Amino acid sequence: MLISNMEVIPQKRILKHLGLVQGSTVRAKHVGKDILAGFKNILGGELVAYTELMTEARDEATNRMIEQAESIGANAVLNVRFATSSVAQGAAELFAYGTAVVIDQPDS
Amino acid sequence: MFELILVLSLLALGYGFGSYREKSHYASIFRREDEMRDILLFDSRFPPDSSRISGGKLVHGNVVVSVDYFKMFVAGLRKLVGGRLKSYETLLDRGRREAILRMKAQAVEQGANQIFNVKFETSSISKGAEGNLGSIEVLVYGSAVKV
Amino acid sequence: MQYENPKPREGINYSSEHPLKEFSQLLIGIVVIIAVVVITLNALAGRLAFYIPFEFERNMVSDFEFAEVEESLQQAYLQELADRLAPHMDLPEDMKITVHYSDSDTVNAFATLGGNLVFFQGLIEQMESEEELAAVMGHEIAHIKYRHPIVALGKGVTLATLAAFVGGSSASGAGGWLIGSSANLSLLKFSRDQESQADQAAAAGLQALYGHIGGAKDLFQSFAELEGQDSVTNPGVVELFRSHPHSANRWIELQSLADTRGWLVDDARTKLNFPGVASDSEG
Repeated sequence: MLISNMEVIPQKRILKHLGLVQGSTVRAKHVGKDILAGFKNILGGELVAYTELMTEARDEATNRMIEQAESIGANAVLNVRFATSSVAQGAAELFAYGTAVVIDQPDS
Repeated sequence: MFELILVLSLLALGYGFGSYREKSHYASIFRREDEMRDILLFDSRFPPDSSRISGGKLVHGNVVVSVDYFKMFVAGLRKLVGGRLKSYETLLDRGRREAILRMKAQAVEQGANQIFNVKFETSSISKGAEGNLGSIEVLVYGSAVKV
Repeated sequence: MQYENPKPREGINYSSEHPLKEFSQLLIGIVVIIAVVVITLNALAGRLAFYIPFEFERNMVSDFEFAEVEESLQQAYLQELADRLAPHMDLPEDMKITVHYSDSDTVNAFATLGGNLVFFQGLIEQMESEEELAAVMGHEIAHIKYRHPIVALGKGVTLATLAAFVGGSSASGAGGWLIGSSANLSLLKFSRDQESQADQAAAAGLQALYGHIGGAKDLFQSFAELEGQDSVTNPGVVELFRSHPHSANRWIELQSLADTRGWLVDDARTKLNFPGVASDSEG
């Protein structure tokens, strides 16, 4: 599966457009990490636990988008965009979307 | 004791109404998605072949949804152990699909059949008590064209 | 260019699992975790409390006013009874018992921080004999002896802090509420084990002072009668018993203890001569 945020892929031809695919997830860290992050807010610096949370969530959202694309027989998702929103304190929603397409020679 | 009864009845109320509404909302989403399946969405900025199309007016759809008490309670428990807040995921999925359907309905009114440069925006417009999810707005917009 | 708009599979961006399943799994899991935390705290607080000097505990509440009626005949009577009973209860040397009297109708007496006991007029009106009053007194002194008030405070404060952290840091309203409620419960109540521990120590004190534990027998019999009464007409009574095991069971427990220790269960009672109250008055 080719994931790109370009609209066209150099030297590849788009054979078929399959419409928009999306993946989203809402995730939270356990309360211990929330408390530690609260302390970290006093000192500043990177909140490793939350970086991890966002990375995990973004990966999951991307994977879900890919799953949708696979379920409709696409072999590439172009023009992928990410959106992040904090829906509740300590919980993040990650959303990924893109256009599912069939391209020729997806692997080369 | 009073507090416990209050919480339990709010939970039951939230669960009863919430799951009923969710079921009927999904049913209506599935029905309308099938009706408007011939409207195509793209998040690319330009149509691949711009010579054959006309139009290009902005269309949008938005929806504000709110959680029920049951979903909020489950999410509150889930936050203790971490992981996926499943009860919020259905809410956002419904919100996003509803917004898309409203945008598609606008495109139908204009006689368009494709929407380009689709973008999503999610914002929580009011936080619930203690920073819980209150209500969120999903906005989706794009440019409708006729091929 | 070919355009198609196939349906992606459902259930990718949301879970089609029944919401009650997640709810029950989480609830059971978290209740178990809280129970483990509370039990651990119980054991820890019970041990650590003995390292808090009693003097410190006393100073903590030295400014607190326990009852409106101080320096009265009634207070002096209760203090005198406590001073007679306390030496028979193996208290640590630095432990002092102070009794307070309140003329409220509440049928209650309680032990709190710093060796302070509070007796309510309503309870004393229920008492027939001095032995019976001494049974209550012994029970409350035993709570002080085993440092139950500071244990409960320690537990409650720890849980309340935990609840504040959980509620504040992760905005888990539900989690904070669960822990907060269990904090309230443990602040208000001594555990049932603590109650029966206090019952046993009180009986030992009665036996040492009077040579029999008849006071405890009378006490649990009249409590058992009150428990049977309508809770609506006697709300104050219910308040007292809610935190305690059933009175009849408490007496059965004590009886078997008396059997093994060879204590006398019945002997002559001294009529209660409480100042300001006719001893045969009905409650």
